[in-house]
Amino acid sequence: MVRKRGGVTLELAAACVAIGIPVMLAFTQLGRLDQAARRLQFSAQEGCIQAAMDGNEDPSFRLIPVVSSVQVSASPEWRRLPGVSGFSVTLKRRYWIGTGTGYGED
Amino acid sequence: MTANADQAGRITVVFAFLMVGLAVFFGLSLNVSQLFQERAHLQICADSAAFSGAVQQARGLNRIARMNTEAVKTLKTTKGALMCMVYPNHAAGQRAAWTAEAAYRIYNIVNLVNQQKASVEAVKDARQTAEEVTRRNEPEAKVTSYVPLAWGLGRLIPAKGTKADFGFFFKQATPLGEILMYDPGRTVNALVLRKALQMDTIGFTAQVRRPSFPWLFSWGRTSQKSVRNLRAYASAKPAGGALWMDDSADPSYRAKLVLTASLFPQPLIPDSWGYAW
Repeated sequence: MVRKRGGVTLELAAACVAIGIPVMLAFTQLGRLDQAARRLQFSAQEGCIQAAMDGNEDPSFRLIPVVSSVQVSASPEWRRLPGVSGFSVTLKRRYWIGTGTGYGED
Repeated sequence: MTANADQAGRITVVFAFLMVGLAVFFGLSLNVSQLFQERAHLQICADSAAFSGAVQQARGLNRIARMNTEAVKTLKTTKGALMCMVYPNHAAGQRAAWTAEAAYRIYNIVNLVNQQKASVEAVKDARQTAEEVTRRNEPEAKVTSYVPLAWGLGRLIPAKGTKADFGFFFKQATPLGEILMYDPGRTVNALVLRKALQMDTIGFTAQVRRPSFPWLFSWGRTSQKSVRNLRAYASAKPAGGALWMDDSADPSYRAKLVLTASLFPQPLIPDSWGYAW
């Protein structure tokens, strides 16, 4: 008789660990990714709001188109690798925003 | 029974679990970048709506500040006009002063009504603008706006402004002859709208909602029907000017984004909640 080395339970437990560790690592990375995404988002927002604030002095109220543009590229250590160095994505989108509070009147 | 027969089907179970894991990862990788982009997009939509609304509020405050200045100017001009003349007797002077006073009091009422109207219109314009901006930026989204008070520009209260005496000069007959006398008249106030306190909040908050597909990895609790929308908040307020400073107003309000709040449902990472601009 051949002795069994482990039951299904043991193998399932091993599979859970094998899946669980990468999942946890992935969530950790997701946190970093989220922070990076927020940074990008803030820079995009800042550009839009700045454009609108620049037009504040104009007396006439109007909606102006502003372009939010952020470039995503690899971090410096990864940029050294061949193939990665030139990789970047530009996220561009046009928004409308109101400006012209009229305080420049008179 | 052999060992192989005993272990038959085990690999199928393990494989099934692994497949589930792989499917989860595959779904995650597809969803995450899209969700980040969608979230950023919606947040900018909320920012734009809030900022544009605050611009309209700032315009309203600037208009009211100018009205305040006009009210005081009119008061001073009326007072000056009365004092430029010398009336032949007290009764004539008093008639003129009372007429001027009545005219200014009517002007005061008209001015207050116009200021309140401007205040209410500013809020109405702010809401309409926020809707228009959101409609242009994201046609599928709906915007809900909040102002500190439902009526008018937050805590604006009518207040006594600059005081002026409607005094007049008149000639008085005495046994020694006519002498020039002065009646200080009655005190009249320029009634103006002013903020209750400089620090009082007049602001505009926009909540932008966008229907979202119930993704496998959508933010937060998709089991609740009420949160099947992606939402973003942003607040902006008019800042920099002063409706009333002693005898003068400062019509230099401009919109300022004060907070871009995060999404609801709650993002995965609590750290990314809220951002003070």
